[in-house]
Amino acid sequence: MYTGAVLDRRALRRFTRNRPALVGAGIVAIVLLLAIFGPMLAPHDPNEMHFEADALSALGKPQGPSAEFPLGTDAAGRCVLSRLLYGARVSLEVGIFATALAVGIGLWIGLLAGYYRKATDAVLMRFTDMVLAFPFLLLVITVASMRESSSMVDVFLVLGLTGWTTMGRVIRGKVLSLREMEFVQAARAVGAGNGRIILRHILPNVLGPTTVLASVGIAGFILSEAVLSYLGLGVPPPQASWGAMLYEGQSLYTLAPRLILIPGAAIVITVLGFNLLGEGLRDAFDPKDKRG
Amino acid sequence: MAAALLLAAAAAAAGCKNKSLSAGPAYVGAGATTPTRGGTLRFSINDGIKSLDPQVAYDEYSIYPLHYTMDTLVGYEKTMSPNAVGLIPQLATNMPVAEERTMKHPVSGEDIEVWVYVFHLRDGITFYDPTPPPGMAKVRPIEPRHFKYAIERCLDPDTSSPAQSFFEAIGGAPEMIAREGDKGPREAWGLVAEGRDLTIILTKPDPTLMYKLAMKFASPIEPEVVKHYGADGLNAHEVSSGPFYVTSYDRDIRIQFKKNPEYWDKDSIYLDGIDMQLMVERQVGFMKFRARETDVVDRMTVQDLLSIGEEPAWQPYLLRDKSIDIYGERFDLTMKPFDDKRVRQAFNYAINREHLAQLGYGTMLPAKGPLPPGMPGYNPELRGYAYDPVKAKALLVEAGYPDGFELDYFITGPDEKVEKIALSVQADMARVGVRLKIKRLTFPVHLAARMSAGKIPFGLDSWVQDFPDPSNFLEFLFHSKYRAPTNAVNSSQYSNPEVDKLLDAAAVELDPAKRTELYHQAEQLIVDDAPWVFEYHSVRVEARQPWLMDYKMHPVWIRDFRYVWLDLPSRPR
Repeated sequence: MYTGAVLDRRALRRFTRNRPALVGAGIVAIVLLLAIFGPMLAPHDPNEMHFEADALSALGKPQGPSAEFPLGTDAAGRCVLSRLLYGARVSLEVGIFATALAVGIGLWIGLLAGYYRKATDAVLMRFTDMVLAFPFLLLVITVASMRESSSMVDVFLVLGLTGWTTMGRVIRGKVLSLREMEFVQAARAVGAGNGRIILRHILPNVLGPTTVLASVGIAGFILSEAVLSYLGLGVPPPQASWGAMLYEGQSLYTLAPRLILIPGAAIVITVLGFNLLGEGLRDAFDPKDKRG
Repeated sequence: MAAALLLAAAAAAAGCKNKSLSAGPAYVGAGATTPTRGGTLRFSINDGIKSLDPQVAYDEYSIYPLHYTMDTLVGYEKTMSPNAVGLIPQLATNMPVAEERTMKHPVSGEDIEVWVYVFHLRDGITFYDPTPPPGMAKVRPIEPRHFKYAIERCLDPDTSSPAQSFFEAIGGAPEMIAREGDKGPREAWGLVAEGRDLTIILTKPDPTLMYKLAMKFASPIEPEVVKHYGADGLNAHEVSSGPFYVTSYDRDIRIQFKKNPEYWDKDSIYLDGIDMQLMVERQVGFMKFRARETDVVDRMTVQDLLSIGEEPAWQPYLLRDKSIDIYGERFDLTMKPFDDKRVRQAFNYAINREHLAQLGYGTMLPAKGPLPPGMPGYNPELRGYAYDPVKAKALLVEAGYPDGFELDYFITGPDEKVEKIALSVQADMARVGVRLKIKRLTFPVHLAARMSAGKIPFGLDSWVQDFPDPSNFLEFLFHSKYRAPTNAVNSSQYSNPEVDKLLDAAAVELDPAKRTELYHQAEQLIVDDAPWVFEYHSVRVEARQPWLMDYKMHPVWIRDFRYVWLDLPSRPR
C-alpha cells in the first residue's frame, strides 16, 4: 500500500521494466510530437483542394501516392498526409479536453460521494446512474440537430459531459475505503476540517487511479470522436480529423481503400498506445505487484 | 505492421476487381445489323412503384410502367429520332392548332374569347385488359369520352391529382377544381366528346397544352374501370392502351410486362416483354448488371461509376446524357446582404464552376443560367459569369464588404457529392474573404426552410423539369407571383417587374419564335440580377450490355425502352 507520492521510485521502476508500457509511452510521445509539430511537417494546406492531374482525374477520381502527395489525395483532391497530420491534433485535442472535463466532473463527484456518504452519496450516485443510462448517440444526435452543425467545442463538451461516470464510481469506491484509514482518522483527531482532509489527505491518494483512468479515457474519447465524425456529427468541414477522414473515405472504399485504412490505422495505433500506457501505469501503481 | 498487411491485402483485392472490369464486357451481341424481334428487357430500380394510377402517379419510377402501358393523344417522337422532344400524334391522327373565336359562355351566357383544339381519334384503337372486370370484354374500343374523363378526373378534387392545375385553362375547369361536396360541376364544358372527335376549349391561351396532353395524366381511362377498382385498386391494376400490358405485379419486388397483341403500332415494337425488378439497392443493381442479370444499369454508386467510367473497354457501352435540371445555390433576396445585387454577382464570379464539374465524377455540366441544354428555349449565347475572383473581390469592396463576412451555408445531407461541392464553394468564397460555415440539414427540413422567406440566406437549391417548356423553369422559379412567405416555388423571393412582364407575355404567346425570344430576354435579365449561383446541370450515366440496341435516355421519359431491340443470343467475347 502506498501513501503520499503519486509515482514513487518503486512504481517508476516497475513501469520502466514493463515493455508494453514503454511501447505505449513511445507511441503516445510520437503522436503528441506529430500533433504539435505536424503542421510544420505537412507538405500542403490540409484543406486546399487540388485539381491538377496528379491530385484528381478528369472524372474526379482521387489519385494514389506520388512525390507531390506521399499518401495520395482524397475525393476532394486534398493531400491525405497533410490531413492525417492536422487530424492528429484534432483527435488529441478532443481526447485531452474531453478527458480533462470528465476528470473534473468524475473526480469531484467521486470524492464528495465517497467522503460524505449517506444522502450526498445516494443523490450523486443516482445521478451518475442516470447519466450512464442515457443513450449516448441519441444525446449527441439531439445536440447536433439542435445546433444545425457541430463544432469542436460541442464535440468535447458532449463527450466530457457524458464520459465521467466510470471515473466517478471508481474514485468513490477508493474514497470509501480511504476515509476509514488511520491517517484520515488521525487528521480528523487533530481537528482538520472536511475540506482539508479531502484536499490534503484523500485527493493525493486517488491521483494514481485517476491518471490510469484518464489515459484509458483519452483512448476512448479519440474513438468516440471518430464515431461522431464518421456519422457526420463531429468537427465541422473542412477541418480534418481522423474520424472525418473515415467518413469522407467510406464512399470509395473499394476503389481507394487507403482513404479509410490510413486514418483507421492512425486511430488503432494511437488508441493502442494510450491503452498500453494506461495498463502500464495501473501495474506500476498496483501495490500488490511485488516485482522490482 | 498489421495495418500495412491489411493495406496490401485490400489493394490486392481492389486490383483484382479492377482487372476484370478493365477487360470490358465479357459477352457481346449476336451481331445482327438490322433490328431483330423478341426477347425480354430486364432492368432494376432502387425503389418501389408508388402508384399505377395514371391520373395520380408523378414520380420518375411510377412513370416507367405507365409509359410502357399507356398512350396519349399526342406523344413524343421515338427516342432515337434527332428531335426526341418533338411532339407527334399518337392516339389522335392530327396535331390541331388553336382556333381563336368568340362563343357564349354556357353558364353565364356572356360572349367570351376561346381557343379551340379539335382532336380526331385514330381508328381501331383499343384498351387491352386480359383480366377484365366481370361483364367486360378483354379488348374494348378507346373513345373520345375516355380522354375527357381522364382530364376531368385530374381536375376532380376527390382524385388529389398533382396535375389539377395543369388543365385549369380548360373551360369549366376552375369550377370543377373549386367543387365542394355536391356543390359544383363534375364535368368541364370545355371538353366535348362527339363521334370520333375530342374538342378542347380553353378560356385563356396555353402554349404548353400539347406537352400537358402528352403527360400520362391525360392517358385515356374508362369510368367503368375506375368504378370497379376504386382509387386504391387502380394503384395496382392497369388497363393497357400502349405497347405493353402488365402480366404480373408483386409490390416492391417485381413488375413484368408483355407485348400488347392489339397495339395499334405493334410493328415498331421489337421486345416481347419487359422485366422490371423493384427495390434493388444501387450496389446490388450494379452487381446484377455485371452478372448479366440485367441489360442496363443507372444510378451507379460513386465507386462503380468511377471504376467503370474510366475503363476504355467500357466506353462504347456507357451512355451519358443531359438531365433537364439546374443545381446551384439560391440567395434569399429578403435577407442582408443579398438584397444587394453586387454581393450576389460577387458570389457568381467567385465560384469556379469548372472545379465543381471536375468533382462530379463526370455527372455535372457547368451552367451559365437556369435553362439546361436540351430544353427548348435554351440560349447558347447567354452571358453567364466567368470565374474571376478579382472582380468578385472588387464587387464586395464596392458593396461595402472589404473584409468579407461570415455566413451560414445550408446544404442537404448526408450526401457525398453535395458535401464535396460545398467544400469547393467554401474554399472559393474564402479566397474572396467570405467565410462560409457549412450547415447540413436533412432534405425535408432543408426544403421547407429554403421555400420560406428569411430562413436560409444562402443554400443549395435545384429544379428538375416537369415538361419541356422554358416556362416550367423561368416562370415557376422567378416570376414574382410565385413568391410567398412559406412554400414559395420562387424560393429566392426574386422580383423584377420587367421579368414578370416578359414572362407574362411569353405565357400567352402562340408564335414559337417570338415566345423563345421573350424567354431569352427574361433569362438574361434573371442571370444579370443573380438571384442564384447557377452552378451545373446534371448528366445521367448508364451502362448497357452490348446486346441492348437503339437505346438512348429520353429527356422526358428518362428510361424509354419502348422501341429498343435485343441483339440475342449473346456470345462470349
